[in-house]
Amino acid sequence: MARIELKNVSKSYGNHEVVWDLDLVIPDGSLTVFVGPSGCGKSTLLRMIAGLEDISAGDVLFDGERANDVSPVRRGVAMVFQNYALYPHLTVRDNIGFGLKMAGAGKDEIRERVDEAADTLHIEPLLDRRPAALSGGQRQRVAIGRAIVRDPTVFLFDEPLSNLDAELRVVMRVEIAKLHQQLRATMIYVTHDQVEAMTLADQIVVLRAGQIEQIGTADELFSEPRNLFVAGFIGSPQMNFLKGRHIGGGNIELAAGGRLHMPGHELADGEPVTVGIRPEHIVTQSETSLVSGRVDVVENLGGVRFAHTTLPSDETMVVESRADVRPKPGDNLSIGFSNRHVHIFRESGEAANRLTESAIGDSFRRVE
Amino acid sequence: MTPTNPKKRPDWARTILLLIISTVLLSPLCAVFWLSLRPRLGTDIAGPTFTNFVYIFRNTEVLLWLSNSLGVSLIAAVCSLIVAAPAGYVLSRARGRAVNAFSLTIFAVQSLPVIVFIIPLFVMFAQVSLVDSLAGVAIIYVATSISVACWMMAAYFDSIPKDLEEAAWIDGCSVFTTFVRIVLRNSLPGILSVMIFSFLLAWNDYLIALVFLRSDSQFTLPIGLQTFFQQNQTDWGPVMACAVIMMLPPILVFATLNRFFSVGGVGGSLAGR
Repeated sequence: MARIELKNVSKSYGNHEVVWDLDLVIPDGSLTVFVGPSGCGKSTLLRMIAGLEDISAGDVLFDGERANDVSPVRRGVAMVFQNYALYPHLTVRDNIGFGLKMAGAGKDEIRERVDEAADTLHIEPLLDRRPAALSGGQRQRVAIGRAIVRDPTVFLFDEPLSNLDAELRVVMRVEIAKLHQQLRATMIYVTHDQVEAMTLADQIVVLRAGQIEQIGTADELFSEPRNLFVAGFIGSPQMNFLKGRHIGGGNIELAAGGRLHMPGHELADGEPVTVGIRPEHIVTQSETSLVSGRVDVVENLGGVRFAHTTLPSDETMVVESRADVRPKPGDNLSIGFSNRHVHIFRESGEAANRLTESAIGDSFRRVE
Repeated sequence: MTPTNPKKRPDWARTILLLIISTVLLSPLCAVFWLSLRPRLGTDIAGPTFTNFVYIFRNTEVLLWLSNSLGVSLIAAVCSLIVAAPAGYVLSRARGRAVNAFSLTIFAVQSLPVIVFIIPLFVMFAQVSLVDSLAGVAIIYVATSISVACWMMAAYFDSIPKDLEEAAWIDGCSVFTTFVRIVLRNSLPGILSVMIFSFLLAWNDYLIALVFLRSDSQFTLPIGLQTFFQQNQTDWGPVMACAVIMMLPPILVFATLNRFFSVGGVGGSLAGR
């Protein structure tokens, strides 16, 4: 186990900066997820922690000791690659035991520890096969087996589930969560899938363009996104964003029509704002309506329906409705929401600072 | 797998075309085999016979030439592999000015014809007693095949995913052990291609051997074959028998190693492969 600290870490290829002046602490025994869109530098960051990528500037500390020039094996990391990267010429047993063999472990010890890892991952019947004879999910287990057998201080997962089908992905996700509970080792997990990030992580690091946008637990990121990017990235379907303007006294006029009373935010009079509201927080009963929207498409997921609507301002809005309300394309929906669930973002994209908690009311506003 | 057409008809036009091409390509080979089995002049045996082969084994140095040819060709194959494998690995993986300069150099060297080098080489080799020596021609064969061999190895290494090497580094391998235990171990088709390429280059060479080899005992097969041609009359039977012997090793090599070329090296290591 290890506590990992990144101090002013940068990575550039020529003039192209991939990661820029980044500070981060990964607590001992935690499962930290790096999440962000493709090209945000999350894999590069992981590879720098692994020791596969040189660090252009700054320091990586393992338990307080500078590890910039320490080889991956001496850092005590084990990594599960996106493509699994199993050695094709070795059997599953030899694949899992390869690291131990390189470390000079005896034959009996290797056999014992490989059997133990195989038992944990339920892959004993596969031990004598070659990787080519395994399915995707089995290969993934072998790749994880290769990591756990070495009893590393840090586990690194580089988008390990992205090549599996949806069903298997859910199964493996739970297994990785179980593995973390069982081993209590420090784990770092890279994904572009915010659902994976939300379900697995003790700590989520949202990255964009080589910089950290926000660090927090799943709940923190969901309920208090620090900016438009995080608000849009976390949560599925995405948060709805409506253009508006602060007209003074905590009143916000929406471009789509309707007025919100949101006292307690640090906003200047006349300041343009973006109002964010999640689809699940929208209420479609007429007495609470704020704006109206025309339904274009309805996605029926069984227990829940998502109505894609167009507002008078030509903005689009996704509305979640549960069993009792069944919107159809062409319907006009009355859309309202509780102030409690509204996020206000300034023109810069940053969330508007809240002045005091108590100033926030919980009232429904009608269309003016 | 390509889906099969349920109403599959034989593609006659294509079959006939392939037949014509095969005939054109194979007829000289068939002629060689046929002529090598014809009775020698002045004998009264009818039908196919091995007398030409018996004749050349008894009366010429063909066995010695065969072993000379095999020797230099194998040396060329092994030596160019020993050089090309690590060099190709660097070409495939390393980046930087030195690597660019290196790849440009071997490209430039490759684009010059061997004949340009022959006279200067002869002068140089004469000073160090490498003329009329099999070692001398072997050195030239290795040198001429190396640049292409490097490219071939590099192209093969490009097909090996870098993740495999990184996994090995994380498992505690050094760059060298990764190269030997993971990369080379999974490059058998590439290794065989390079060895066969170098082997055939040496095996089929006539020009270099003609210039550098002088005495009977040092001849390779193509030069030995030439001694059958006499000033006034050529007995074609033994010439063809010798030609058959010369063709056999390449045919054997391709027949036995053929399957390695169609099988990829890294199946199963990655997702979806």
